[in-house]
Amino acid sequence: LAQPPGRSRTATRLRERLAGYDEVAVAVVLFVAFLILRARIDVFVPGGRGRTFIESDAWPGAILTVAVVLSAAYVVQTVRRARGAEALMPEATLVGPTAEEVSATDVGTGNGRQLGQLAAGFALLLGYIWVMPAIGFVPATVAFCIALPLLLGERRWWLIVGIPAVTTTLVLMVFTRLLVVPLPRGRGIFLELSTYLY
Amino acid sequence: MDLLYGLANIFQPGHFLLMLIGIFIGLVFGTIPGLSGVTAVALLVPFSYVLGAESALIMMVGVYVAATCAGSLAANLFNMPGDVMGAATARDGFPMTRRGEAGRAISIDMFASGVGGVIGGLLLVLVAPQFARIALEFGPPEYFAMAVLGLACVASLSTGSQVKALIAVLFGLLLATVGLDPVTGSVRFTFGQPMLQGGIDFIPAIIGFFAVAEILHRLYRGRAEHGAYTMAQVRKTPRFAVPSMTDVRYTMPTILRAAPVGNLVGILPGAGATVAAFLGYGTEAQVSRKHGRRFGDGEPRGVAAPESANNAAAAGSMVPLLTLGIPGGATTAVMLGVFVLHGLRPGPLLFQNNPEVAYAIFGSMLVASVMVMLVGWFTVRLLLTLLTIPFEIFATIILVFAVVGTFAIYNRPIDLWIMLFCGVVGFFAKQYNFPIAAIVLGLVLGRIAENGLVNGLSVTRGSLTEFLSRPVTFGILVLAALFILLPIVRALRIKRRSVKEAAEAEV
Repeated sequence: LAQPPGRSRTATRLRERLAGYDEVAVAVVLFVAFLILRARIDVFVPGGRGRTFIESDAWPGAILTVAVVLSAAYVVQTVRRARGAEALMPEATLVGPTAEEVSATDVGTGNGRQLGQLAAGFALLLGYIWVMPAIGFVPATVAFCIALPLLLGERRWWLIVGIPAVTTTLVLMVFTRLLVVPLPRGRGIFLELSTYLY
Repeated sequence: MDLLYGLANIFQPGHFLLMLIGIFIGLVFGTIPGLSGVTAVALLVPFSYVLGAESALIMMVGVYVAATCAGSLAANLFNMPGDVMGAATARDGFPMTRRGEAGRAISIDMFASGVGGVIGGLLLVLVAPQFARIALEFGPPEYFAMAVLGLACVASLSTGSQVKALIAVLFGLLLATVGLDPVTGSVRFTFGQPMLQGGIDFIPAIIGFFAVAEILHRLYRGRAEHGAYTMAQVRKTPRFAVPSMTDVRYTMPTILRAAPVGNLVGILPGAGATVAAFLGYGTEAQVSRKHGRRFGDGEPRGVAAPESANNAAAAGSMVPLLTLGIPGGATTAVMLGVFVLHGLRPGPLLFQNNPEVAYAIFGSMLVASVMVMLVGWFTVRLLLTLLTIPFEIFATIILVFAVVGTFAIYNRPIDLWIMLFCGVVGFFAKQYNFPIAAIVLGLVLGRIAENGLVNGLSVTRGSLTEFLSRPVTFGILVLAALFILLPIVRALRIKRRSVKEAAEAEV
């Protein structure tokens, strides 16, 4: 459904005003993470104390102390930059273009579609690593090699079939025959299939 | 004599073939933007088990030299550097292409790369053994200082924000502390996971930071660059690109000037080929300005200078690796991993205990530089055809090889999760312009720095004064401090000057 122009302008304006602040969020996450690690270093480095010239936590503690200071400076820098960019934004930009105008110019750095593609691509890779011990190398690789090109918009059937066939065969030959690497074989029926193949 | 041994070793049929395979892989990975030579070298690590250290390192040198050279191919033709260092070459290479001199730009590029690589290789042969003799006197404090110098270099010479570069270095140093403490054996930052007690191995991390992160980054950037070029565009480039004698004579002085500059930068741990390329370009631009030549408008010497410098730097980066065991960049860090996997210890004793490995690297640096130049001249169009292949094919193949290659190194599932974690971190680092090379060097040099510090303080019985008062240690640490402080002082001076100018303008 098409959005009313007023609503899409407001959404675009909000997105533009928040655009400079995503790096602020990154800086804050870094600062908080370093601060927690530094403050609770006794938990993360629980080793004995007073046995050597340098304690187990001395080196990481020194690194984290400097990291806390620098990440605080980074937070300040990013906040200043975001505010500066907002102040420099002309009135016309604050009103913002319509969603159609944005989609016409934004070829592809981080709009919703790309974000979805990134998330799906990452999930595929995660799934590939996750299921490989259970179903074995061959089924996992074939599934991954079909799914990723499809996700990236590939629709030519000979590539959808060719990429998994060539990649799986090549990797199988190189790693099991040449390098003698014990690739995961899976469990149950997958183990039988893998044993048949390599 | 030693060099002759190295050269004879390279010309053994098996070694020569491996080097050619390495050159081909390097040219492919260097030409395609995002698929850097580091990724190629890291994916080849499992093959070292079958090939042995010497043969694997010869092949990796081939990859390294070829990828360094090919990084500027797409930069010259399409203003799309295959690697960051290619951006310096694109400043004059791309205007030459627009002027209809694409073939001339590529031929000069390849020629400068080859000659720069040979000069770098010869300097390596001369410098490395002398450096190794000096390094024999180095103790833990000097190793600590050298690691700090490397980290200072990478933080201060990175392009962009210095704060981000320093945070990246610290993040890498922190990753290096995960696992067991080298002295007390206490666990650090393992979060209750026994698998993490072995620490974060840097080869899976490098595969994650470079291969996985790049593909995630390109997924996020969308289809803008997918299969960006057509065969019609590629056919406009010449089939072969051999330079004319006039161009050879015209660019030779530049190549001879830029190569030592690049080599010196390469020797500094952490500086790398990208810095060398820009420094070589900048130095030559200043020299040429005196003679009335304008860089940036398609000046052939502007192509020759960065190419000569970055290929000479590739050879220079072998000096700290071979003589101290301190890698100067991500590629040499992977090579360090190969040494370690095969029970070899790079450092001054390498020249006594395993001279064949050191001289094989010397020889392959020289021969690979010449071979890359020759192969490059005659395969230009073939290489550029790679730019027409859709991204989804590369992404799928690279990710499968990244997963299987990572698993194959130690057969540990934890390495796959480390690779994935580093891929995600690398994606955000790319997104927000944190230098990934700084994280990697932090991870690699962190262990060297901590071991040097702890062992050095044990030797001096905890006396920091005694630790720092060793002349070489003190000198190197002062140099490291200068690397960190000089850009800050320079930035402050520029800021003060601009404020003053603004105030004067108002008056």
